[in-house]
Amino acid sequence: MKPPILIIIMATIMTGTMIVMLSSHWLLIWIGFEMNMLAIIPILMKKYNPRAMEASTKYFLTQATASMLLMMGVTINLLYSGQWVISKISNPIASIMMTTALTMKLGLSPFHFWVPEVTQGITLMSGMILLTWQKIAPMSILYQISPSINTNLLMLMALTSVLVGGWGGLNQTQLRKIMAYSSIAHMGWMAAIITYNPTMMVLNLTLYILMTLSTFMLFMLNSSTTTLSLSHMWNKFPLITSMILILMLSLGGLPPLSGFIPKWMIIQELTKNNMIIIPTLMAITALLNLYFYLRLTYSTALTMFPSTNNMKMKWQFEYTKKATLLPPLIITSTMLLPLTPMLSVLD
Amino acid sequence: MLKIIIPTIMLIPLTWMSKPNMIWINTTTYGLLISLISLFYLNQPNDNTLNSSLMFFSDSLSAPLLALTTWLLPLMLMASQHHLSKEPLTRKKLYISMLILLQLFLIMTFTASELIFFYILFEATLIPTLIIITRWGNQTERLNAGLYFLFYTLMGSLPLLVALLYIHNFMGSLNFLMIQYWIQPLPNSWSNIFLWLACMMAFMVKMPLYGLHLWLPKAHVEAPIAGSMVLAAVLLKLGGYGMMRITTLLNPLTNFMAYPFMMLSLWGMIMTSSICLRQTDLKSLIAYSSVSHMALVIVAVLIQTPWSYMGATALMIAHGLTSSMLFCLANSNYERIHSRTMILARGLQTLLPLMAAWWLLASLTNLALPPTINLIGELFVVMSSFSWSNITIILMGINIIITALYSLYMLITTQRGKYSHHIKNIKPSFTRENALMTLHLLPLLLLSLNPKIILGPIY
Amino acid sequence: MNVIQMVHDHWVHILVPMGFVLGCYLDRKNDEKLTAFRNKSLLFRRELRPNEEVTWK
Repeated sequence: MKPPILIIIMATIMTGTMIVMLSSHWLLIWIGFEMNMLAIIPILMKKYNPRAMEASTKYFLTQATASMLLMMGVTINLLYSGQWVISKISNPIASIMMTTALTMKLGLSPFHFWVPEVTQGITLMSGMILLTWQKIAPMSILYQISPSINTNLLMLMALTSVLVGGWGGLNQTQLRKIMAYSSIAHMGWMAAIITYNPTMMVLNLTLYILMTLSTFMLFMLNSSTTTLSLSHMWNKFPLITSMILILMLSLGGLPPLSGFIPKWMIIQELTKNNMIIIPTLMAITALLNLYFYLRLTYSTALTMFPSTNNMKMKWQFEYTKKATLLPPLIITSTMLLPLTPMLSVLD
Repeated sequence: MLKIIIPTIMLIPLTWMSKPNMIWINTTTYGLLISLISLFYLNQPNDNTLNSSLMFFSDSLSAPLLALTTWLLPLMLMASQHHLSKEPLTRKKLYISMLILLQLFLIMTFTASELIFFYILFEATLIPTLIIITRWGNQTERLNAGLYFLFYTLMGSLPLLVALLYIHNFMGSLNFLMIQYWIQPLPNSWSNIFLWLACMMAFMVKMPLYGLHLWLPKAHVEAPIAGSMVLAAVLLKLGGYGMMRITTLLNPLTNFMAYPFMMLSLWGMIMTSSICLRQTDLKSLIAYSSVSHMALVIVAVLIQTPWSYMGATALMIAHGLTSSMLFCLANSNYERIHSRTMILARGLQTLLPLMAAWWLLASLTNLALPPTINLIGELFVVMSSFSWSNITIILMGINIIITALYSLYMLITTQRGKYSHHIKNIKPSFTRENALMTLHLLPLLLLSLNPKIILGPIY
Repeated sequence: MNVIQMVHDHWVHILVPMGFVLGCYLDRKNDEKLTAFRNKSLLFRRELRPNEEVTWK
């Protein structure tokens, strides 16, 4: 792709999300979504092959369906309230329709089937954009309409997403699919908290984006898309393998790492609202996620995959790929837990 | 408390900056010095606690465990030198750093004054332990063992997190020093029963309770020597410590809820000691003997009388040193014979007589012979459980007999008999190993001169 | 020259003692903070006797 075209496309993606986040008018929001969706398609098809084509078609179809549903929700809302402003949605049907549309865009559980399929079909770079930046716009709308969302509906979606995100990844060896399932599970945690404390959702989204970004960057450094190629990493970047170990445990939400903050805060917020069984269930089903992250750490850092002798010298080669962003990203996505007391400003 | 924590953190740069031939000596020496600092906390002048800061405190329950933790780091370093002798330098340093990190987390766990802080550190100890087990273990089964270890513990402790946050919401604070004054009695209702279970199961899994113990023999058998030592000596005690701390929140429900768990422990300790009687694997035998001893601690904590608490604390310290010593002995056999099977190590007495003496002493402390603190612990536990219910003396008595039997079985199988030919040209025992055994045995014997300091807060 | 060589060889030995000194200093500061709090609190405030530093000993 030529640089000017790439710049225009990327700018459109950014602008689309910005318009969604900044506008208070439903039509503009809808336009923002459409801009964003149309601009991401060339990015998904950057490496042109049938698989990428299929992936971007699937993405286009689901997103278009979701946009239409959103528009229909907006229209019903307009019919009953007579205004386009994004504020309290008085009509339950409109609210349910909008929620469904937005969760479809996010890939929450009953509408999650496209996420692994699409992510597997595209390059690592596009996958990174798909699983991080593309979550911001729908989440910001969910944040804004959070007072009028049907809690039971979203809670059910959240629970099933955490379960599906854990279950689906269990048998995977493809890294992109694993990341897609991990994204589904994390979206589930965010959906669980939206109606109670949307700010916590933002915290969770931030940390999720940080962790996913650094994981994808590590994968891109080695251009590995399977567990097998990840397990060859130990003789290329011995230090990076330990970074993957700690990042994976952080993604799984083990305590002294950053990934535990959102889990902790969400469980606290839910118990404050007299929920005991749901957070327990979510925490325990999140162990399924931890299981497949742990398998990745086993194959990268904790065992040494057999290799031929000339492969062992790979670490000596000068590496041309620059990874300037990686150290700060890894530090923030693993070591933020001691900063948790600062969250008290949110109360 | 920072005067222990910061030097422990500084051990990590010390490891990485030391010259290659000095890494073991430097870390061991400074580890021993740090353990000397921790001895100051054994002196608890006033009756309640030494409140070191808003985050850390120590009382006479946590101080002995703290001293045990800091004491164990140099011993682990001494024990694993041979195991790592063939590894490259960076990996040696990484291994030592993992041990130090584990030590750091353990120190903070035992001195944390907030329950959530305690929980986070309790879980934080999992990561270095997991890395030690799965990265430096010997057999392929270590991967499975690591999974068992992690998931058993997390499955037990996630409900604890929810329960703690729930308690936090209506109590407003989870500070150990404050909740004992604010505590409301917990009446008997279904929701409170689940609260009790959520609070206790995490520690029951960690202890481990019979029935939830399957992760322990696996982890012990597959871990490298330092991993086995720290698991047996300190990580299991986290369970006992946590139970003793959290039962203050759960009264009077414990009196009612304790029955099934008491039965399970009393039955399980006989079962696990019987399993020891037919073990062929040395490390597995020691691991099962740990389960059986920890069952005594569970019984003692659940009875909740002053005597049983004293017995539980003393037994935890005693068992920590004894089982760690047994693992060291097993490892010294393993390094010579390259097998954990006991029958292959028979007749070692003729070749390594001094090591045989250490085996004898370790077996005697394991079956709680008089001049050791194991006796004090077991005696207190047996007596308090007898006064709780007279029938328990039958089970306790049988358990003590079986303990003696399997200790004897272990001693005779590994030391006596005619040696086999493959052990003719083994290395003699090193001074390092003899020093290691002495350093295990000395505290056991010296503490019996003044057991007051390990009898816990109630004494 | 000899001194420089020795410092270069053995400087790592300063790390742990330095940590101990730092820890002691921070602990002392913290004690002073808690003591000042206690000496000022309504519940425990009293006139310190001569040769008495804190209210809690």
